[in-house]
Amino acid sequence: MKRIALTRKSFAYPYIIYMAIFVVFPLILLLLNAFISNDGEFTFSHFQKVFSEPTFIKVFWNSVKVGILSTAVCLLIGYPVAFILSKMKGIKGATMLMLFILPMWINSLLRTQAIRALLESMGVVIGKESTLMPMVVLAMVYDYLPFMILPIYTTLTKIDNSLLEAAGDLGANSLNCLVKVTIPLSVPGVISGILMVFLPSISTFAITDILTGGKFVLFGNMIDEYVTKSNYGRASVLSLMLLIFVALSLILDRDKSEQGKAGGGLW
Amino acid sequence: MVKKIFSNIYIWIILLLVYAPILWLMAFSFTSSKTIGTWTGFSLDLYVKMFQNTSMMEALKNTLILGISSAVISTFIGTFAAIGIYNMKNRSKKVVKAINQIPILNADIVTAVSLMILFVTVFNVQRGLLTALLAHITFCTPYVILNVLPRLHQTNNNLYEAALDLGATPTQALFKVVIPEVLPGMVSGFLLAFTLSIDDFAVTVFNIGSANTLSTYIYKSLTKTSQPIELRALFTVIIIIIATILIFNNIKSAKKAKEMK
Repeated sequence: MKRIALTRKSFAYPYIIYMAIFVVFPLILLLLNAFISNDGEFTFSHFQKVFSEPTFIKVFWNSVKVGILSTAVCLLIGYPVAFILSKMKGIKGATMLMLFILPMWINSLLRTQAIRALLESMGVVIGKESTLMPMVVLAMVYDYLPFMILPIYTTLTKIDNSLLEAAGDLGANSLNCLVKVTIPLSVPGVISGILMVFLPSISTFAITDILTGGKFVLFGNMIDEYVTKSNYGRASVLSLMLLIFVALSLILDRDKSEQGKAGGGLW
Repeated sequence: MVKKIFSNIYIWIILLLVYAPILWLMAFSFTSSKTIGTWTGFSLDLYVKMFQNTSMMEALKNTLILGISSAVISTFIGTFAAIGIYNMKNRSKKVVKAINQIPILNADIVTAVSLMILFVTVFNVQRGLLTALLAHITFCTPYVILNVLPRLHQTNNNLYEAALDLGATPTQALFKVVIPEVLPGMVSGFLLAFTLSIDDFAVTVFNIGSANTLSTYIYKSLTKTSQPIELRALFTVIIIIIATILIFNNIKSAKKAKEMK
């Protein structure tokens, strides 16, 4: 008698079917929608329309600027935090890490509202033309800082201490140790931190809506606008552009997927 | 020594900046003033109002329904999928694992738009709680798998074989040997799925139609000019719930780490 009727490989079939329908197929749909006109013919017209939109260049630059600025500020603030946390031991270290990570699990809309409330209490006027960009960057940094700290922290704690000791024994001072050992070894964490901040910050539309009342438009807002107008072709074009970023990060992140990190690290 | 003091000061300043807005908003949930920043005495008015606000309560109900059902279903699908993936050949394992990463790494809005196009143009269904549930399962299940799979790698494969040799049916062996071994991974996967579901905004807002969860409700009221002030009470409640789940989970894993030593 054959002992196992259900070979355990088959346990994954429902999941595979689910993923095929709800992950792979929708992505193909995006591709189709971006390249097929309303009459069902192959076309580049959606691309042309999006790129010739007068606001497109502005939105593109806004997104890139906000993305780079937020990511850079997160890195500048977050790296030292991760570094200091990684040196803390025992309960204190674990507690401090949790305190820094906890906001990650609070809805970003709520956190954005919180920072807006605080700014308003301090007398900042929401929606003033000159403050739009700094406000958005501030909110992004505030919202996404934990996403920068966590991956850097993870790689820093994995660094073998004997490497630092060896560097010290061989005459490196602590600055040298930092620049020549610690920082190079933490590059993978920095890369995933950058990806985890940059991508969400250019694709969000809620944060900008809440903080600027729709006066500051990013990639995400533009997609949202097309979707509201049921213009799926153009929404797909922009989504595809974001997907290219994602694909890039998938390649950069490939080595780490084995460890099951990215977002789930806290658990 | 100086370095230590300096780094402690730095950490505490950043921590203060991170928590200041949250605590500020939470504090003003205990007063009934119209604007945040003017304190008009302690009161629990907003909490009473929160429960009286029917659309807010409706949104809360939907959030919990979605959170619990997507967590249950994705834990179920994900656990079995993890067992399946664990037993796959190298090549197909790699492909499935790569696809598993897509919803995790993908921008929320791309997942949201692609699913919406699926529901609207292909399935041609009215969007509502059910479509939102399908969407939530899509991005929750991969996290469950990431939590269960490492557990499977730690389990001794011989135990399952031994159970079969000792006369257990494959089903018995599965439920009495494999499932108990991966249970901790299932629990953290479940909690993670639940938190992700109640936290989600972009995917929900595109796929839930005219219904609301808390996050879409908050979004819709924040983009209006006047906001219901009881939102502050709701905000406080949500933060306390999330903090409790996290602290509980961390104490659990800290205990486990101690036992391992």
